[in-house]
Amino acid sequence: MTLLNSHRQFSPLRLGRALSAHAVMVFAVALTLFPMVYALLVSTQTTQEYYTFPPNLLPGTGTLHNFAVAFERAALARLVFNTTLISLAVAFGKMILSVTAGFAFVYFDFRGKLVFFIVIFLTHMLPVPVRIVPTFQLMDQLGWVNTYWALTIPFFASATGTLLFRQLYMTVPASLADAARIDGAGPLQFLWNIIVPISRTNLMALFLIEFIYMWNQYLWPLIVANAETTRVIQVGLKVLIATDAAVEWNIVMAGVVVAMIPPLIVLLLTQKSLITGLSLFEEK
Amino acid sequence: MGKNPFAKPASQPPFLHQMLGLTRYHRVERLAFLALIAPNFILFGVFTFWPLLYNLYLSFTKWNMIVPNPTWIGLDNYAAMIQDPIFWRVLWNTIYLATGSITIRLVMALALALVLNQKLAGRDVYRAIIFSPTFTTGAAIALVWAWIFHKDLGLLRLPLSWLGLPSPNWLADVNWTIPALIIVTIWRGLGYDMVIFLAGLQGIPAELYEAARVDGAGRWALFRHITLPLLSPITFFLIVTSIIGALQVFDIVAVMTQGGPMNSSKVYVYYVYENAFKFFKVGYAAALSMVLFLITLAITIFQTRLSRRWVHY
Repeated sequence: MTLLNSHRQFSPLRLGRALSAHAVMVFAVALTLFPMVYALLVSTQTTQEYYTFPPNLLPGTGTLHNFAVAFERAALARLVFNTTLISLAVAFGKMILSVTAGFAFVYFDFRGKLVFFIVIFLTHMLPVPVRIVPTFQLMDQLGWVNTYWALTIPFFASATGTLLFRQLYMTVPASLADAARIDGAGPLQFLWNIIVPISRTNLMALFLIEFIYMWNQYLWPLIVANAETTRVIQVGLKVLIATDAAVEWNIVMAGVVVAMIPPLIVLLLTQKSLITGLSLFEEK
Repeated sequence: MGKNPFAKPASQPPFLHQMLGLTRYHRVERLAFLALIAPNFILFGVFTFWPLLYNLYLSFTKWNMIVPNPTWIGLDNYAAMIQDPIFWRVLWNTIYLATGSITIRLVMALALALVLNQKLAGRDVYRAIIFSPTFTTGAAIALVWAWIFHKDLGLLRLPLSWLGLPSPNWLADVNWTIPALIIVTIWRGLGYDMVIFLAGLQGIPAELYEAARVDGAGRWALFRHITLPLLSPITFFLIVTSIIGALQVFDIVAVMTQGGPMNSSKVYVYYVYENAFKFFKVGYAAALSMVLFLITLAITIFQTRLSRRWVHY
């Protein structure tokens, strides 16, 4: 912003302003990170180490024990497997369906297209919790309760993704499609050779966002897949806290760390493209 | 932002029929369109629109999921809702949580975005870290906060003890459950709001500030007369999406308080869940869902209407 860097030469005023900006940011970063760091710390501590006040803010000696107990008590390996599986499936499914639908909206012409588009647009605005009750009934009638189907198929269609790719394809210069036509490329070759490659950035962003979105689902899996075989990690963690005895918070935190780490790793590895991608989703 | 989704493309790419060298659209094209779009539409039809209609029907019935068929009872569920003190309590809790969280969050997010909107070493790192809670898992992070809010041993007692203040019994005191949830929702949503504000700030043309400064405007005047009005579409967008988001809070409540104690933290979706899957009052839950749907719809319509008048582009 020009307001702050208009005087180029060194000045004490500028330095002071930069320092106070850093101070504000460091404080905000500390407030942001402390719950995650604290969970990580407690997950390494033995009961004696964490059950004190003031809280012990040093790494402890119970790491292996805590994670081993958490993995055994909550069957964490199975939970991680289930969650990874459904998140990957839904992210891929949404990618494919969004590209084909977005493509169809831009490159096909006929009366009634607008009606289809309005339907998609309305769907995009319907909150999920509004229809949990009837959708559960539907799963029940289909015999899908406690199966992977219930955790994936209802999520495949993506209004947001369709709108996103439609928006992108509308900016593709007409000359590209013309060139493809002159080269004798059919529509499917055009889709595969030109449209898919130019969608790469958006596909990446959509994939990451939908993967994390699925990983973090809670309400729907809780209702529809709360059996040991299909439970996801968010739902499965409650096993660690729902005990008759006193809650062992260090074991709980070990489970929490396992549940939180995959989305955070994805975020850290791809923060640039993810944040760029997210701005594409502003309308969501 | 504010883009009209119904806008025509700037340069319409050739349609398929043109690519195939046909003069007008053709039956082939319609079939191909339907084939490409069918998976999306069948899934939306089955898992979105049919449930919505079925939900409307269920809201006029009484059903416990055990007897084979729902019994038609007309508007009784809606009448029961009006007389249900817990419903009003739930509505109040939801509004309290939403307004508390959204107002504090937007002010903080704008302040942080203003600080970040300058040349600052490590800016991307700050932005990524503050943004990260957006992607943390609600159910997992709620467990961490449950321990942070522990009355005797929680981390939050530490700063309070430095100030010589007693720690409230956050999750067990009817007056403190919603404030505790407000803290968690601010923590989770702040980064997203900040990133959106920052994108908006970067879209304001620098020449506007230059011109105003030439006219002798001070920093406050620049903020008041340029930044704030030009950010109004973004602010409005964030308010509306945050309200819709706040109406749907579920995971942190389910994990941290289960709506208690004494319904003090019971929020809307949790009450729907409880009626359907704990009390097996399916019809009543469906009626509650319908009202949530209508509220969301009203907010969305209000948004499109009002944004035309109120927002300065």
